[in-house]
Amino acid sequence: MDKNQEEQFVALLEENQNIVHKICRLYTNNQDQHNDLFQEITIQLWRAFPKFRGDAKFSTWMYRVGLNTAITLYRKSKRRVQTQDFEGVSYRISSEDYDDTVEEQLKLMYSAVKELNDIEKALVFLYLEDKNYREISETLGITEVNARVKMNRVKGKLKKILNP
Amino acid sequence: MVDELELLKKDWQKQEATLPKLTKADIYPMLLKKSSSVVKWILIVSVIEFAFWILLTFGIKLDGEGASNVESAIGSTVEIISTVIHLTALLFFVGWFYKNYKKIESTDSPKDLMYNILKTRKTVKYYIWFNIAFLVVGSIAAFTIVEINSPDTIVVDNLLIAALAFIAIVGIFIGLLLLFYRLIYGILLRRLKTNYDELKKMDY
Repeated sequence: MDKNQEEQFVALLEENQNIVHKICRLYTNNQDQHNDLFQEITIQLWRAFPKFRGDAKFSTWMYRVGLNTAITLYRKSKRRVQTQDFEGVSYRISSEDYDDTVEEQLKLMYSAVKELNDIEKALVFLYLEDKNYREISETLGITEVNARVKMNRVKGKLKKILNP
Repeated sequence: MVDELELLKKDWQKQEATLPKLTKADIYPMLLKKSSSVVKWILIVSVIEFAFWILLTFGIKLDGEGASNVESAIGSTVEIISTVIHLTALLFFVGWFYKNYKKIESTDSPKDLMYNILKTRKTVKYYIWFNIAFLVVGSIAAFTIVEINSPDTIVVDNLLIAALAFIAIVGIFIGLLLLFYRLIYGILLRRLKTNYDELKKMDY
């Protein structure tokens, strides 16, 4: 890959880095893991860059490769699971002691999302990013109907996590 | 639930200000670093396995005194045929591994990627089974040919014990290999498999 391509890629990534950071935030629980995943996504994006033909927006393509990496390629440490469990429990207990302020509600929602599996997280992520079902289905490589059905199931699952 | 998700969506979109801001100078060194992904490890293990088999093939041919005696007894025609078959098969698998690797490298849809990962795993599996089958069939053929062509090579009194020992050694070897294979690929593929199953559920 030539120098021009490298410059072009780095400029595009710098401009759109928020997407990758947000994926990292959803799939990791501390700064070290965040940096690791960011690194891994960058490598995968760079590898796949020659295949990016510009027929999709760069940001759309980043969603695909980024989520792809988080779901399938990224090696996670065991620490992650422990942290996740602890957070989930602690939020749940505290919610019984305090009034449901917006902040508390948000905390609960975030911890509930963290309890979802990798695929469900990807769906919620795209939903939070305000993507419509057509975009969600294209990014994840599933049909629009399935994206809808699955999203409804995820909503049900979140409800169960929040009201066990 | 919908209200809570909408609340979360609003909050999610406000977070942009708190996200880290990397400069080009931060990003450039990242391109040079090596990937630590599961797929890379699957490929490394496959290559190590491949090298192991090549070493084993040539190791038996060069070091095994018993084997060279057997080979000389069998005669050059059988040896040439078996070597040609084996090497052709090896070349075929090398090509297959490479094809899978290329596909994985350039896939950008999770579903296709997982499909390709499973395909890679299957290729490695076929490769292992081919080698085991080749080892077993080849050894049996060699014994039979030696027995038919020059019965004096192996003394009849020892034939049963020799055959049992041979079967035991080959059996242990295959068992260890399968154990190693299950352990290594099991660890690497467990999470991928879970996610693959999830995606499968999503599609049907």
